[in-house]
Amino acid sequence: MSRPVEPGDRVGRLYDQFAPSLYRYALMILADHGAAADAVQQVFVGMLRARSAIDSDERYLRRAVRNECYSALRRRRRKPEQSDAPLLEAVSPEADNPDDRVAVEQAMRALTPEQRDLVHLKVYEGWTFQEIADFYGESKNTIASRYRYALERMRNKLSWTT
Amino acid sequence: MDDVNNMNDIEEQVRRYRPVGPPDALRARVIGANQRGKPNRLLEWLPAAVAAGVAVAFYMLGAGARADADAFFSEAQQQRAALVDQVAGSLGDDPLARQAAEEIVGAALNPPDVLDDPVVVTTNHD
Repeated sequence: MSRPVEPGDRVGRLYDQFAPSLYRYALMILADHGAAADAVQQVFVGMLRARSAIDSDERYLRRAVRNECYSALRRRRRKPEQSDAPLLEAVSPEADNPDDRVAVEQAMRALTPEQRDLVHLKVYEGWTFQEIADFYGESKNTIASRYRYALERMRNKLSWTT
Repeated sequence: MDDVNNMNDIEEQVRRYRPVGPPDALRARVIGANQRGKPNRLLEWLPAAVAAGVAVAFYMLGAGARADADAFFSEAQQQRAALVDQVAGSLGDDPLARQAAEEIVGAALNPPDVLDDPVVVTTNHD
């Protein structure tokens, strides 16, 4: 006989399923670990209080996290914060090149939050331009052009730092 | 074509890394925040329960006071009736005596307030 799912178990299960990806997304937009944790926590607590989205799909949660991140950025303009904790880690430890990682991270930090948001979805989440365009509610061409501009900016920064 | 190659190079370089994952403490923080944010069923009912308790307390106090008052007036009426019987007996115990006894006992138990009836003093100047 299966034990009924306790609320704490359900929260834990939802967290394990969605939080790591959402946290990384929030971190890329905010470039601040504390603010990213706050955003993810806010979304989870809001979702569970509303009780309506217990079985929410990841895209719904991602949109909520995105909204929360941009709200945090608007608040941050009034009270600037700066975090030096690393944003990136090597996918495989043996392939880690600290100098290269720091350079990529600096290039990433040089982007605007909106550009990091876009780069994250394209590079780290593997979304297509069309999926990103649908998510943002913008045209595919606009997204593609903004992505190219963001990468160009990163390339300039990387060539300048290396 | 060079632009495309450059883009691919940058993407490849970026893909060697990924954003850092959440700290371990965040899981407990989210679950804890959810537990704290959960509305307490007992607290939700507390105002209604307090209101009902106060209503019951007032009702019981009112019932007690009403019983005390009933007992008091009942006893006073019995004493008054006994007094009327006694006075009527001493006056002959007929209807006229009972009527007189009622008036005497009533006047004795509820004396007229002299302050309510100002005494009119008349002087004869003649």
